[in-house]
Amino acid sequence: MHFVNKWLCSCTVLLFLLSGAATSYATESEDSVKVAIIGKLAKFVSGNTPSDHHFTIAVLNNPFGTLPDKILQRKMIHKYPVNIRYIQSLKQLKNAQVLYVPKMNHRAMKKLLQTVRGKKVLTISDSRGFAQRGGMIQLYRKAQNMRLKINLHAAQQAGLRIRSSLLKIADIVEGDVL
Amino acid sequence: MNLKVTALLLTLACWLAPVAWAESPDMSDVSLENLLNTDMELKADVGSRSGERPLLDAMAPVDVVTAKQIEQTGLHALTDVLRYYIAGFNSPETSVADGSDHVRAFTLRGMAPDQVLVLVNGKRLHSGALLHVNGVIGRGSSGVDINTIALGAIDRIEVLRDGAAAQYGSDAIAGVINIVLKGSGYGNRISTSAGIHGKGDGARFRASTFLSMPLRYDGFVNATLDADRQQRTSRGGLDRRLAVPRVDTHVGLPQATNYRAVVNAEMPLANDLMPFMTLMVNKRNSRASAFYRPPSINSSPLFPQGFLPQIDAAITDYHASAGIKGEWGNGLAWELTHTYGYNDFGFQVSNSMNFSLAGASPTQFDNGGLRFIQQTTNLDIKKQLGAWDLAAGLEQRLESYRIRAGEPASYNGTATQGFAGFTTTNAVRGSRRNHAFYADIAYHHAAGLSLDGALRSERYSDFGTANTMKLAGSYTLTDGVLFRSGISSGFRAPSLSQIYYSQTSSFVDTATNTLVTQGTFRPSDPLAIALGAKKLQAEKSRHFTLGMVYQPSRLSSLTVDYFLTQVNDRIMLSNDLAGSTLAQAAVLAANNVAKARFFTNSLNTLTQGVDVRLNHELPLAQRNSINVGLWFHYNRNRVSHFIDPLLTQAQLLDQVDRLENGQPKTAWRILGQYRHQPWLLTVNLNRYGAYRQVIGNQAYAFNPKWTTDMDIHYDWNSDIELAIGGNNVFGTVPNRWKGLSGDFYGYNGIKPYSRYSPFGYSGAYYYLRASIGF
Repeated sequence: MHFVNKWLCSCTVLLFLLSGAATSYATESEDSVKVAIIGKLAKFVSGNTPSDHHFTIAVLNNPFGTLPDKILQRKMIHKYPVNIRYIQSLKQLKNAQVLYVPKMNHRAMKKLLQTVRGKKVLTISDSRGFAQRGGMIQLYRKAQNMRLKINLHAAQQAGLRIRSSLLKIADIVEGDVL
Repeated sequence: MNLKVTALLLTLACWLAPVAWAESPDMSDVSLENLLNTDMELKADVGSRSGERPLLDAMAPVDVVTAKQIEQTGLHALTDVLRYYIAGFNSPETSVADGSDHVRAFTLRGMAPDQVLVLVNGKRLHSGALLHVNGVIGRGSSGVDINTIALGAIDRIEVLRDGAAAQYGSDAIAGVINIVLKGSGYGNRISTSAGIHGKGDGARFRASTFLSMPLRYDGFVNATLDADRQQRTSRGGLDRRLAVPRVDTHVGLPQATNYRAVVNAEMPLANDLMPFMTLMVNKRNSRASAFYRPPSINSSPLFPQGFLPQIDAAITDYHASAGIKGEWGNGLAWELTHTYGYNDFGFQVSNSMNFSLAGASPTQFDNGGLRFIQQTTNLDIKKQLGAWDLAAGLEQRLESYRIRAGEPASYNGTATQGFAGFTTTNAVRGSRRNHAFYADIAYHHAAGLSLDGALRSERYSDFGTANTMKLAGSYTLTDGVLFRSGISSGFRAPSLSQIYYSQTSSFVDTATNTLVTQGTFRPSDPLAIALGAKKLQAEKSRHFTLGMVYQPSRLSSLTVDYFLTQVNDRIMLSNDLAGSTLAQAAVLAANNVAKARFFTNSLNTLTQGVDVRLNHELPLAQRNSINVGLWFHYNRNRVSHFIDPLLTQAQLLDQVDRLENGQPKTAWRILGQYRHQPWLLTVNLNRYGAYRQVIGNQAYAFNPKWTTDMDIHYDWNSDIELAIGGNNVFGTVPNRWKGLSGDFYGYNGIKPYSRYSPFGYSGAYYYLRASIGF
């Protein structure tokens, strides 16, 4: 029993001593991480320069609540202030540089991707199989961490360039022909 | 400083510490690489038909054990992993208890093994064929043998600590364990570990390979192969029946070899259809023993020096599940699955004899076996309509149970010493089918209110209908404060083993010099009916939970959950009826039976308690951290009413005391982890509360004990991991029987420790572990 007491005491003291040492991030909600990653990904992509002095991230059928505003509003991407636009239809996509696509079935996904085809819009989704179904960047969960899949061909077809530093930390996949 | 004060200080430290860093760092200022390395909240699928939900938002308490955590234990069996992480999960290591030595029973909240439902990827996992009939924790039940599953195949284990029969059907009374297998995104890996107990025995070696083949649209085929060999440990006392006492009976872990294979696959098609399948195979050979037979009871020339009967178990287990799921254009998701479960338990006894056959007796016997098969077909649909989640489904289940007789020499006359073979009268084939319908509606309001209601109706071909319901809700009072509560009803169908099991053997009545029979009889046996047995009915349960979640920051969480479970018509194995009344004596004498026992709906029980979980993370610079978890469980089980006159407090101190006091009422887990890249140090302190075991008519108490597990893990690079560690590193063993002296059970007997010990009695185990990704 004596060693148990000693161990508990040590833990207690250690916690107090280290109370000023914290610097960074711990367990986060999945949605927070996704939104932050969406904002980061835009910085690794060029070729979609805004024409209206705002870098617009369009969130279709917003599943994130107020997180995009909290995390991305008042930030800068490529020296442009970020504008979050919550949309319900692709008709509201005008002048957006990034489009987040929520989870949806294959038919709806295919139709959506065909609609944005040729537009200089970076498409990002956490839908299963998104990158191989013709999307550009897919977020997926592996254990407790988020990972990326990139369909480089789809990005290139839209005239977007993705920095090699992003390609190094993502899985590159080949997509379907839309 | 005493323990309570220290624990209080530790709690306060955890609690106050977040004040310094309650503010989250600005997520948009974190680099992409660090975002990808950020651990996200744990989610669980179990307990709701609405899909995965964050643990701390759940309407009922759920624990999750991740693949990383499983690996860090250095353990080889899933029962040990869950005992490591889940306060209130109990899985004693028994020995000299026939089949129970080979299949570890486990319990939640001090209830019975068959009151826990186990799922694999959300699909029901069949129970084992073995019925625990000796005086072990779980006596009278057939639980699921979760040690059939290769640890390397598991992504996470979700433990729902609440009744959920309205969602999943029979057995979900003490809780539900959902084992989620690894899916897409995992790389190939070879792992190996080797270890030995502190006393130099019980060496163990395990090798495991995980292979993953990615398919299109995030599909995958994952295969896991696992081989595990365990040498026995020996912790028995001296056999004082011998002229020169020595240790002759094997008391400790059995010698066992396990081969496990798991294939898990999902194959998304170009449309919205996705076929999927899971196959799990386990082949186990295990050897334990009965008590030593000294020369004084053996006049046969076969073993003039005495002999130790060895009981071998050959266990074969399959779980195969295949199905297809999809989503229609209107958002209606559907899933059709068929699951086949098979468990076969073969008994062989060697180094033994049948006294009736004297010198002509064989020394090796086929003693027969048990088999259980379960086939389940499910059709599930669900749809989200705004804030509403709707789900419904149909289930059909076919179950069959078989006892096959051993060779005649194993049961004729006085039968095999050590374990009597199943006779042709015991041999049986039984089956039943049931159909079920369920509906589940959940509502999530933006103001932080969530409600869930479920109804389920089942019809069994043998005992009739069971209707159950569940209402649960949670309310987020403010950011970080959530209250949750639920009421539900449940049931447990009598298992086929409880309905059909019988094992009888004979011995020579020295008074009459004739062979008489004793053993377990089916409730439908005319003898049992004459003694008062009735057709078994389902156990019925009612549940209430009330809890709260407090998250002062993203670094800390505290959950406190009270639970109350009432089980009526609980099925128990009666005591040995040996003719204590004239009517009984007449029935027994007319059938030439000395003692008989059978299953009855005997009593009602009330279980209540509390679960507390405090988790805290202290992030340090350069992605280092300290994690502390403090988990406490308390349960109190008591018999509230005796239904059957065959089973009363006075008549059956042993069974009632086992139910009320045989398992620890309290359990503590204090887990500390210090990560200093590339090192990870883990220390896990476990406190097991007091418990009792009855021998004769006297209850013997066993003290609470602390055990300590340690693991030092080193990431050589992103692919190679090495670890050294130990479980119960200080070699804690339970105290010996206090005040009990005896040849078999006693501080100076062959079995100096109680078989109820929640952490066994084999002492320290040290291991080395390596893992290579490729």
